[in-house]
Amino acid sequence: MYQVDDQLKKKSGNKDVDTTNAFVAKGTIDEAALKARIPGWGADVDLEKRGGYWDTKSRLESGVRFNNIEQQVPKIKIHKSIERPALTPIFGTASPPRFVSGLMRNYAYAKHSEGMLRHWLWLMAADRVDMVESLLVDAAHGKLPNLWKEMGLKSEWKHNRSAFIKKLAIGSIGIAAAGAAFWALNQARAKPVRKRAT
Amino acid sequence: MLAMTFRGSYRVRVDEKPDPKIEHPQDAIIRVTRAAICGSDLHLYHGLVPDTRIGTTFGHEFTGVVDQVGSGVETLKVGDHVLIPFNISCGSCFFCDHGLLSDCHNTNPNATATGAIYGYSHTTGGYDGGQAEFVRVPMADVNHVKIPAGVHEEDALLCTDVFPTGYQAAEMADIKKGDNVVIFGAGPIGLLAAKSAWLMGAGRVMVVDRLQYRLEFAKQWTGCEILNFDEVDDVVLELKKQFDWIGPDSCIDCVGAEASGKKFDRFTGVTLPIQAGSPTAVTWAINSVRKGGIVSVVGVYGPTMNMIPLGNIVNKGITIRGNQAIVLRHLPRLLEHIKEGRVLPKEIITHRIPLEEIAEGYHLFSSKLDNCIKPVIVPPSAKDMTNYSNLN
Repeated sequence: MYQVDDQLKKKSGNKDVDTTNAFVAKGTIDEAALKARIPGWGADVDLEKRGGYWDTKSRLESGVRFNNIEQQVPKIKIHKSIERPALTPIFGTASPPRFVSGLMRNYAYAKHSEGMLRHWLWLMAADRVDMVESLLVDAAHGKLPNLWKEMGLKSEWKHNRSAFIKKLAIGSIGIAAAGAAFWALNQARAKPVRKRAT
Repeated sequence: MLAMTFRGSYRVRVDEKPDPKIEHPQDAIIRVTRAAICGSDLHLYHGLVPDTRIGTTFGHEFTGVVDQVGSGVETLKVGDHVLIPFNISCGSCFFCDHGLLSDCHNTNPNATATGAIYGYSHTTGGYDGGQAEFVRVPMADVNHVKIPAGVHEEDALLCTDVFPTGYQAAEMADIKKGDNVVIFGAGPIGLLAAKSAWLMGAGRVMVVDRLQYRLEFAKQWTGCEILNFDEVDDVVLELKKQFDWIGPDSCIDCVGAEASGKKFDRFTGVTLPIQAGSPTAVTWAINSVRKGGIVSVVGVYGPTMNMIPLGNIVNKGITIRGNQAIVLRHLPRLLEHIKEGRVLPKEIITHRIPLEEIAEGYHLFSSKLDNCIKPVIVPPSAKDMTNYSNLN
């Protein structure tokens, strides 16, 4: 901790000079107080107590170990980074690629390595396209998104009602204003242009 | 089965999906008894993680009971009550062999820059997650720990990610007895990092956030000091003042890509996003840590690039460490801490939500409503499981 050095202050004689002692030292701690206040304080100071890697390793070495993992059979399209020579032995099978977003993902994985920004930008663009496609798929099945439920707005209504009402009001005014502007623009366009008599 | 499915940014719902099947001799199917929503799930929920496909089920924190095992599984049997680490590891590749089980090279075909994780986009392997009634666990002999007697199910649940990640964050900060530690983020990971810093003998622990209810909880639950960055003009200057004008010995970033605090970072990292997340927390960590100090990063960032003060890293001689937590490595010790009552992670759970209402859980957590710290999901099929002592 820094402390004001009174002797230095007297020697200096200059009130504008900051005479705070600039010596920096490592502070001390009150171990007994910390132990009393914090349950388990210092229980893992000893490095050997941290982690249990060797327990895990011994379990792996006791037989749970695979020198040659059997290849999982791909039954759907599985994307692979081009920074790999081959498919991994194990992979996930959630949500296979589909439609236009699937083609975009195919392109991102086939053409660009992970180090290229465009690899990730193509994937993020595909995510946005996928969102629109899923709305169309839902609509084709006669299903409209229940935004109230899907966005969890019941909890917003319960715990943040006044802000929610304010947001709704601002949103409604914005939509109404945009609607009015659109209507006015259409009206102006629809008016016949008066021809000047020649 | 019922499962949460992603429908687009800020939209999730519960759908009927086909039950998962054994796809490999080393697979197991787990009937989920508890799942949690992780802070990093919110990056998916907000549409910020590349290759997050519509219809995918999230959830990398879950516990359950073994429902089926593949022909090659030797150490699990139907009915075993297990916690499943969030990393999917093969147990025998170069990286697993070197103890880096979170960096396994045999389970994620989609990227080499990250290992595989349940329910965390196709960038981490394209696996469905555990916010469902059932989930497929690959390489099941490696990727499980049986929940020991005397450990509550919900403490075990928070050992699948939160506690090991917080612990590894503190371990990577190389905390020595008496060290001063600053933790950015008072969410679940920050709270467990603070608890872990004390276990490792820290002399002072300070947690920085902007949400006062979380800071108050951190102060009461971990005994740390707190700093609300909305109440100071210059966070780095304040930390220098607070820590003897040299800065803390180590700083831990438990915030990641959606950090608040600098409008420019939020705009370029979250709104646009032209960098892989807002780097405010990690920048504050680099600028406030003392010369020769350590910055430990467990906050999640995207795979491209971020604007951080590289010059200060060099000139101050800072070491930066990061990794996804190697859950299996830490669990033996962490389960001891739980049994001894030194840390009971389930105390941070604020909400228990039926799977059918998971959208409310996401919104509560994302918008920080009702003083939410950690929401846990209860599948309908878990409600009748009274014969498992860990559940009581």
